[in-house]
Amino acid sequence: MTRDTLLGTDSVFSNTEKKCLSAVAAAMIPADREQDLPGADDNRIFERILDRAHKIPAATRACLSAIEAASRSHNPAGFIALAMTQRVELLQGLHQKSPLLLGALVSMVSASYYEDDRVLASLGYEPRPPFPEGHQVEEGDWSLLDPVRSRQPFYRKA
Amino acid sequence: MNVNVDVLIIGAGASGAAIAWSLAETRMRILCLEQGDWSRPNDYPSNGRDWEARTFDDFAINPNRRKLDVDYPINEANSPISVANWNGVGGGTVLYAGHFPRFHPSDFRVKTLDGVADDWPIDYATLSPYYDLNDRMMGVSGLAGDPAYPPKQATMPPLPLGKSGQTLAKGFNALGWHWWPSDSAIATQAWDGRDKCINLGACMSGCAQGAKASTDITYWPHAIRAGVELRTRCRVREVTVNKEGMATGAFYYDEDGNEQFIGAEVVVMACNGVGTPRILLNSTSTLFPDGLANTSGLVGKNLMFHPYASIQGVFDAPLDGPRGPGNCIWSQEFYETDLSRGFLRGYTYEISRGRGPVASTLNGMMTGRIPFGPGHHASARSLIDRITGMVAICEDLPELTNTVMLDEDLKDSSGIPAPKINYTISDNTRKMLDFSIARATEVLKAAGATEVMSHAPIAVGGWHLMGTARMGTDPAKSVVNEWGRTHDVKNLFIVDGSVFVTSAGVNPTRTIQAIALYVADNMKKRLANLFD
Repeated sequence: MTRDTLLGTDSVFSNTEKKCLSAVAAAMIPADREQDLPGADDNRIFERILDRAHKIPAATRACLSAIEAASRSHNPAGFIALAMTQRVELLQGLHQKSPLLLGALVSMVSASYYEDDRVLASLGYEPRPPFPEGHQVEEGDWSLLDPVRSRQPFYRKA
Repeated sequence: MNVNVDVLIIGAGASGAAIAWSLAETRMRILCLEQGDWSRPNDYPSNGRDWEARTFDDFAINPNRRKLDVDYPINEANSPISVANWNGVGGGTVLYAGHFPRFHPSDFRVKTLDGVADDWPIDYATLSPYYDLNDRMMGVSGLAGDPAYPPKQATMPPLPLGKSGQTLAKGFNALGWHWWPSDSAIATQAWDGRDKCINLGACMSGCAQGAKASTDITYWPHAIRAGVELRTRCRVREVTVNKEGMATGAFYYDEDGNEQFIGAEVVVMACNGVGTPRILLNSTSTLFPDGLANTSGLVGKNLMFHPYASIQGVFDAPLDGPRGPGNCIWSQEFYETDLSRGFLRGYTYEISRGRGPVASTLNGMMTGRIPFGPGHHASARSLIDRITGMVAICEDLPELTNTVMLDEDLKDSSGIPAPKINYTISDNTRKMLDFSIARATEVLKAAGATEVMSHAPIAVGGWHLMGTARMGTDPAKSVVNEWGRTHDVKNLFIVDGSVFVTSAGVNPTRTIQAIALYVADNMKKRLANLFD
């Protein structure tokens, strides 16, 4: 699926809103070419972000409106007209001033990014749900308990 | 009036399930009404790739966030701690972590030993056989020999230490402080038809494996086979009384939203420390204008949460992350009162093994620990699978001003007034929280943490709901007597955490269930003169 298709599919958001959302996602979690990591505006990741945004359109719009309003004091054309460093700085400033303001966006961007197969593989995770395979956890060295085993009971009698 | 059932139990959670199963042997006609539904393991988040995100959505612990059709709203504007619950068969056991400590003997004698609050009218020795019985029904993993407790047996071996547990154990050992493998209601071996834990790590959004003991898969199958009827999606509005002051049954809304009435000889409340006072306060009559069984004025008062502190360390070496139950080891080094600490009573540390990538980064980004922009990746990767730590469960003393009342405006979808919480953290608790953070920081640094992150109280940590229909022998100072029968209404019983006199510094579910079994036994022994 191309970005244009993504942007052109049925959506409660306008193309302008989706472009802004994509730019915000990329500013929050940009690509890292050295580590071969996608950015949060990667098509597959952005598709997940949009899915989540569609479930909370009002909250998403509120975040985007706040971002656009703050951006226009730097450039009348808004957030996507800013350079990447300016975008990051603006978002960081808004977030520091009021952490809950961008909470909905932070939540959907981080969740969508860290559910991606490529990102999980780069972290050593298998791209699968926990169930039904589960995980291995080492039993551990139970001799660590020896100093405690030698303690006398210390609960108060009553 | 035609009596429809012998025993009506309201609520199918931890205590409702236990008392239903225990009373089944009497062959009385027993009906349980539950406003929620059965959970389906296939629906639990751990079946999907978005398992972490769903813990903030349809499996959120706070009903005001979750907003399922079976949830009711709660006005928490006057509380720094939000209520955590689950409205369905199994109740809070569907979402709990499965930490399963007992009370200590001293927890029943707070007034005698420490000069505050009140003593319980029962003691550890009285509940001990019921703890043992409940352990067999639920299945408890752990290790005998904990010096913080009187002798007790575990039914199964403890959960594995893993990298996280070993790291923290070394920290406790370096300081010479107590730790022990947690008692957990999580099967480490096949138990009662359930398979053992396979370390899904998603315990607090429902166990798809069935290894975590929730009462929908422990008590309820046995109770239903023994003849107890459980009706789901039946939301009770009020319990009724006759002019003799005896409970006669309950009005409820069925799954189609139609008002129904069920008559009963005996009514048992098992709706937790918020749900039970809510229904009682909504059950007004000429005899009980201030709410059912509320002559003392104490229904809804003395609400106790357990204010929690969270203290997490960042380590260089990879740890367990989300692999495995959050439960691992605990410490009760600071459990029993020591006045030199500057507060009364004490707390338990319970290790939280680790977090998944989504939780790690979401938390980091929201707190500013992980920046936006090019610095994101290095920062995020310094935290993912590298965080472990603990929570401190602080004993909450009863205060008359901490209450559950009926909201004047807010109602649920059935038109029943919502509960309103008024709650303030006491000075004693504040000091305890601060102390717990300072000591845990020492442990984490001794264990090798390069960074420590802490906060208190955990705002979403209202997991334990206690005290709002307290137990006692004096009808002027309590709502139920020493075997769970309300002083005012001789055929009305309460078996959930509402009856707690004090909260201890441990998770309450094991004690709630032991009390439910104890009350059931007392009812069975006194059947011939139950209403005397």
